[in-house]
Amino acid sequence: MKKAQEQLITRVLTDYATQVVPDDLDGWAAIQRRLQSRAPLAPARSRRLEVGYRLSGAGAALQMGRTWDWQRAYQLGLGLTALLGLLFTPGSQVVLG
Amino acid sequence: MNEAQAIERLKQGDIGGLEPLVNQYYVRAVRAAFLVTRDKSLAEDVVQNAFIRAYERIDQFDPERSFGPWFLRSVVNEAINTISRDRRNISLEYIAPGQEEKLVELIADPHPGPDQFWDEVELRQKVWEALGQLSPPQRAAIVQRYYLGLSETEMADREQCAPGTVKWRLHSARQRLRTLISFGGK
Repeated sequence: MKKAQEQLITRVLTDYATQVVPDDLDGWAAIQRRLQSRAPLAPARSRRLEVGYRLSGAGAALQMGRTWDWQRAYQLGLGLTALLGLLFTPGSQVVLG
Repeated sequence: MNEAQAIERLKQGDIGGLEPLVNQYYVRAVRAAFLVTRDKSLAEDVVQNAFIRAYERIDQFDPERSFGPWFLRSVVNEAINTISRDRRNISLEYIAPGQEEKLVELIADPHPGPDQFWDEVELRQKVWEALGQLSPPQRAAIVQRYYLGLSETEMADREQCAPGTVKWRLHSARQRLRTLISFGGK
């Protein structure tokens, strides 16, 4: 491929990308929103494992701990683990409302 | 905070270290992902996920190397995987019909004479359409080489991909582009 043709391709790629994607995107704000709205998924984990992981108190605690709030994570972890323990203990009943 | 300090903070589990890296690489990464996916929203998704994954996998990053090429390669790979998975890869889908010509006119060199102007507009449109007809890995190879300016060695590096594979992929992409565009001596 001739040099001029390669330069043309570079120019077309650069110009299209610059026109469509502006310079002033606030990536950090977008990433913070994403981190707050949902925990990041580890792609290697299967969806089923992911659901189990999120349902477990330890998983939730770990997930929050990985972001910011250790104290809330600890409390939530304790709470969820206790609730799951109650739900899955034979003979136990949880009355809601 | 410089790049090395940011990475050090990430390695200590402080997500605040991500901010300077995002500020430095976000726009370039979204542009590269857009050129592969041809969908701006999808490109932003890809890049945001890539940053979060970079944070999660920062232990795999060798701080002796530059973060940019390592990260941009992962963005391009993720963009290929995303469009291959979603099959949302319809060329020019982000730009609505009718807007396409306007955009091509906008990015053409504003200074040549009228004939040259339309030749240039036509040629650029041909190039853009031809890029859309490449397979995602071929398009990614072109984006890495001609937009991100990565060398063949950098492209192959750490992708568990032999330099020969990158060379072959680039060669077939160029070959296909040549056929699709038929440069006509330009």
